Amino acid sequence: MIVNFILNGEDVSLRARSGDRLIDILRDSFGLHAAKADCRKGTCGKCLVVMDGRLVPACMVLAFKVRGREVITIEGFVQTDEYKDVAEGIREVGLETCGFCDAGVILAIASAIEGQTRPDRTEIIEALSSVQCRCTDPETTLRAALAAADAKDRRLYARDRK
Amino acid sequence: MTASEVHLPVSIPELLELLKRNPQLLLFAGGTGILREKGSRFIDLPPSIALLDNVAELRTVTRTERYVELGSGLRLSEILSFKQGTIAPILREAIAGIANPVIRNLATLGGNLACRERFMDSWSALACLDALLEIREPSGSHWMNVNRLIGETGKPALPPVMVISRIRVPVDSWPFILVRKLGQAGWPGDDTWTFAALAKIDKGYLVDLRLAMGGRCGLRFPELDSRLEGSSLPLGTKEVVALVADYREAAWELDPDAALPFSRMADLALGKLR
Ligand SMILES: Cc1cc2nc3c(=O)[nH]c(=O)nc-3n(C[C@H](O)[C@H](O)[C@H](O)COP(=O)(O)OP(=O)(O)OC[C@H]3O[C@@H](n4cnc5c(N)ncnc54)[C@H](O)[C@@H]3O)c2cc1C
Ligand code: FES
Ligand code: FES
Repeated sequence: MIVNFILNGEDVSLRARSGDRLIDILRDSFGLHAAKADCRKGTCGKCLVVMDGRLVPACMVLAFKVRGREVITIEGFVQTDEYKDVAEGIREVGLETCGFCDAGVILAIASAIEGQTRPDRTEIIEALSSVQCRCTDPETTLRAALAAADAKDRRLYARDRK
Repeated sequence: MTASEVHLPVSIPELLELLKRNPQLLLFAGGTGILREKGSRFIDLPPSIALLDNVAELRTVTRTERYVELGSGLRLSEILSFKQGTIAPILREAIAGIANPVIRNLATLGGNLACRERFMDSWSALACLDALLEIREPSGSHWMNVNRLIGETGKPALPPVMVISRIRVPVDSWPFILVRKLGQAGWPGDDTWTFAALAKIDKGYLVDLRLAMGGRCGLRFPELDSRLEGSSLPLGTKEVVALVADYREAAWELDPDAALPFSRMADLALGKLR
């Protein structure tokens, strides 16, 4: 089947089998390797992407479900101001990662702080629960998310004052 | 791997026509139940699939004074994002306990209720609420109480060729609610159960009590629930102990493995009213 969708802002089209998973399409057909295919069961969160504004595991999305949608991978997300907030939060607390779950952690932090109101600790813990990280201490990741929320507040405040 | 034919119906009549022509058609909502535990690189799918995403009627929300009707295609995260008071708190709590936020961004309420192997997490809350399902079949449509999903052996008994289109959930307020997931975390297994309880209290009297538990079978015993109705609170220890023993016996009859978790949870719920 032919699958047309928007990938990181560009219209793309490819031939896929109905049972192909989005994570494999991204990695094999588009060379986007930051999201990983680990469990392929929706549990590890290493394959997260944003589809139509919602964070989803790309291993649980089949080719036919992507048609007509907009997909943003971490490679597309790093171009945004929201990414800068998350990166600042991570830098501030010195969160060091092996890189395997980066796509998931960064996008999960971004989704935790994307709302109008500042999330509390419980809401952040809930958002981060979608990603299983083998290396880092959950408390440091939580602090990175809180620091990212501060960075976002600072950025929006500076923008509104202009 | 065989190629599947994927249909994209945009209305329920179109979907029912497809089902009539092909009763084996796989309804694909969020896909999280269908793809669960299929950890391989390639997935074998049945020859015919209908993606439900574009069926607008499955995504409606209607509210009256007495109930809210939820389209079965609403995603769990969308339901959780409704403003406070739109849906019964017990249902909100049960849905919030399902999987993780990113799975809930794909998974639908209809898909949660339509699992044929076991009762998933939303069922026990909806069973306590006496929610109704609108079942659409090629031959017609009807409303059925979610409690009627319990088949003779206690297993889910859904009509073979059907679409759950709407879920009608009463909105009356319940001062006492309890939801507990029991057993291993993660994907529900044989020893996982979701227990839910509701109680209504008026002027110090218990006026309504409902307990339900879903897992590899569904447990709901309205005749036992009504036994203490009209009793003044706090409930007497003797009556509670006798009722818990009867819940245990009733659960045992259906599934011996369910007897202990159900009676423990009944004890916990009634203990809070004691
Ligand atoms: C990692 C992971 C963790 C999970 N944890 C939980 C958990 O804690 N609790 C829990 O309850 N579930 C859990 N699930 C299971 C699943 O996510 C939910 O049951 C979900 O609600 C299923 O909805 P869906 O839209 O994805 O259904 P689908 O996968 O699309 O469909 C499931 C079944 O329902 C049928 N169906 C779908 N919609 C309809 C309809 N409208 N009418 C008739 N039939 C229909 C399909 O044909 C299929 O047989 C988990 C899944 C994963 C992958
Ligand atoms: S690979 Fe998708 S959640 Fe693990
Ligand atoms: S940093 Fe290594 S798995 Fe998360």
